[in-house]
Amino acid sequence: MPYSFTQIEQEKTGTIQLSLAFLLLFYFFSALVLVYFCKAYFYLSTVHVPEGMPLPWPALDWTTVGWTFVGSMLVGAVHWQFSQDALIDKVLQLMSARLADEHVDEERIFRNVVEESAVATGGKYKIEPYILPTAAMNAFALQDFQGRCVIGITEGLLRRLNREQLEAVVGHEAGHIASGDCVETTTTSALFKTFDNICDITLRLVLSSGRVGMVGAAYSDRGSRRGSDGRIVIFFLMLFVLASILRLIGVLGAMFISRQREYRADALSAKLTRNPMALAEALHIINSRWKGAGMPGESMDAIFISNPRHNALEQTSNFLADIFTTHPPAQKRIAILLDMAHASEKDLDAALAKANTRFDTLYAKPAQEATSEAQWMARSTQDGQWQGPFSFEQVKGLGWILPGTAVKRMGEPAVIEARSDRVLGPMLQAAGVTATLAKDHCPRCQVPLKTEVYEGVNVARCQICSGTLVKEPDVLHIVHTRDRVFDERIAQMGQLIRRQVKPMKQNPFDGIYDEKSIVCPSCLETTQRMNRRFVSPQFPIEVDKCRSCARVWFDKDELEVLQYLYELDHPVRT
Amino acid sequence: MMTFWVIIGVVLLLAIMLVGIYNGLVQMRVSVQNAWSQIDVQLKRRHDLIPNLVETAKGYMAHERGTLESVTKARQMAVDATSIKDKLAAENMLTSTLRSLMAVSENYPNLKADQTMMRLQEELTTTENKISFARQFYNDEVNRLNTAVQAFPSNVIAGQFGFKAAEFFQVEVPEERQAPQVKF
Repeated sequence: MPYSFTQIEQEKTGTIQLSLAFLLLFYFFSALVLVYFCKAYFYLSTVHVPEGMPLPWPALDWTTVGWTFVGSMLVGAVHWQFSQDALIDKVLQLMSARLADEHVDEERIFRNVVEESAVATGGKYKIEPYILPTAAMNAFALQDFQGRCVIGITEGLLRRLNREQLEAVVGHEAGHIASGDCVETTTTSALFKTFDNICDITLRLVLSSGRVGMVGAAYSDRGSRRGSDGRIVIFFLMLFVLASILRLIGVLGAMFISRQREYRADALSAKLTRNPMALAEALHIINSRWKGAGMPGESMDAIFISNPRHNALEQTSNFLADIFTTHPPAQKRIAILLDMAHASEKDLDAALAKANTRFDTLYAKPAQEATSEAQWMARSTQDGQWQGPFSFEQVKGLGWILPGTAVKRMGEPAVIEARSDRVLGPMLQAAGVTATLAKDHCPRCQVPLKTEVYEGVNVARCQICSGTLVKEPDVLHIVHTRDRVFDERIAQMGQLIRRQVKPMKQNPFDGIYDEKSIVCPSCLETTQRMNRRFVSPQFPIEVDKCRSCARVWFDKDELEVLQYLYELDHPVRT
Repeated sequence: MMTFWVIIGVVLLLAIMLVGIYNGLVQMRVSVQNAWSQIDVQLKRRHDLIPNLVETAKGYMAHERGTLESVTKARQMAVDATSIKDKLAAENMLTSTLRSLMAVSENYPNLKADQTMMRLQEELTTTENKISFARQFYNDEVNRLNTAVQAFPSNVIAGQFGFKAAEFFQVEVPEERQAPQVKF
């Protein structure tokens, strides 16, 4: 591990040359195959082969090989130029990123943090701060050969991190830039991404030429020219097959992007900020939520701090995964960082709860809590009534305070879950009070769900957190019913989701679930926990879906936001 | 004749080595100067922030006149300092007075909630971070130069052409010097 940025600078890797060499070699061989088959095709169609004789394949002479070599090098050079030209602008435009606005508080802090990381590398790089207008949770870094650097973060992540976590995430991205692997990932991703475009274009050509061929065939029934149109179709079909193979190569492109570089960037971030814990927290936050599957630009997964798409192979650490994936398992990354901080997973949970107060300044002292003076109101899990105030000792003796119980400190307006309270949380943890499973009980508050009629269907609703359990077919019924009027708050949340400028490209249905996911209150299937995923690609609202009994758990407001969005998209004509 | 060419060759080789080492030393010295100017920029920025900060804080913390005055005084000393050594001492002093000001301001919820103060505090935070990162980078560069100045064979050339070891930017705040308390 190099000990300074000066030294990192000197030890940059040379994988970029390797991937370019591989690309050129690949071009050469595939062009050779293409040229040979074209030649054979036209040659074989001219000679007459008697029945039963082997086909007289033409020989491959050195002149052909030579010209193919020259041609493929030319194509390779053009491809390189094409993919590298205004590379960063193209990528940013694709993701509709915008510069961080210094008039918005959070974005100004992000600008500052990015500037700090530029100072840490000796002012060598001028890093531009960019914002992705989406509710997803991710961050990325870009760098091209001209030395232009960009660190970007999604709006969703920026709004959920405190300053220390933000410093850690930006430090990670700056680590990519300083260690030189950022140029590598950016150019390699761009290089192999062009194949996607080629594939699309040829597909369109095939379809249109197919139509031409069909028309041609219709005319040729009258007799004159048969075959020549069909030949064009076959030619394009061949091109398409080739482009598909090229696309597959894009997957292999991941081979040049080592998983190790993520560990290295994590380590550099820890070195820079001296705070591995903050990065562990940030990674936990990123990985337990939607990371941006389906958003434009997700296919360039190597540039992100965490792969936007859920990848089962990525969660393993065998040889195959090392070759074909771009990111190491998130749990392992977090474990390494926790090890650096000499902390355990329990500490991580506690730190996450504590980090709820956002953007604590550098000088803020840790709050010295006088437990003897603080008092709490608690909402009864039996009847939903507020009780109290209780002192710390009284709360301890109550016996019905669960991690999900709603509590409120005297003198503070916020209602929070007991587990996120800075005193009650550790107390519950120490006492070993954990969430219990019970049928038809709220998975968050552990109180019985009450059956209600909502928009004409039966739903089970928690009286404390307002979470709602709905049968999946009933969701459609609810969104089609338009009896409710939504208030300003729901409208604002809906607008934030709609601010994602571009619609989802594909089905982002890779649900996330792990041992921390909630268990479906209806079927209590512990082996198949609820999947965190979207309602649908058009409505990127994260909900929990049960895979065994087709029920959907909406947290507070999520159902209303969905209804609001549906009505927004399908206005009633009067 | 043969020996003549051998001698010529050896002399040429030595000359090339000498030029290489000399240029390397020059490059390191320049990057140390550059790294120092990076710190300087950030220190200046901090000096510019402080009058505003004191002005804003004054309205809320009338009882902390002493703390505010010591910050202003430390700033003036840092601005006036000319030699690098004085400068380091004054800046370290300023850092510790600022820190105590921030600690005291915790007791004034109104001040903490003030919009201007929140902005200033963020600016100060980022400037402090930049100073510490720039300091780290500077020390890395100094380390590189000093190693070259002392190690053979570059030390011979460094001695001949007057390359001197540069000074590290050390933290001289007494409480930061103390070993952290370890609890088991």
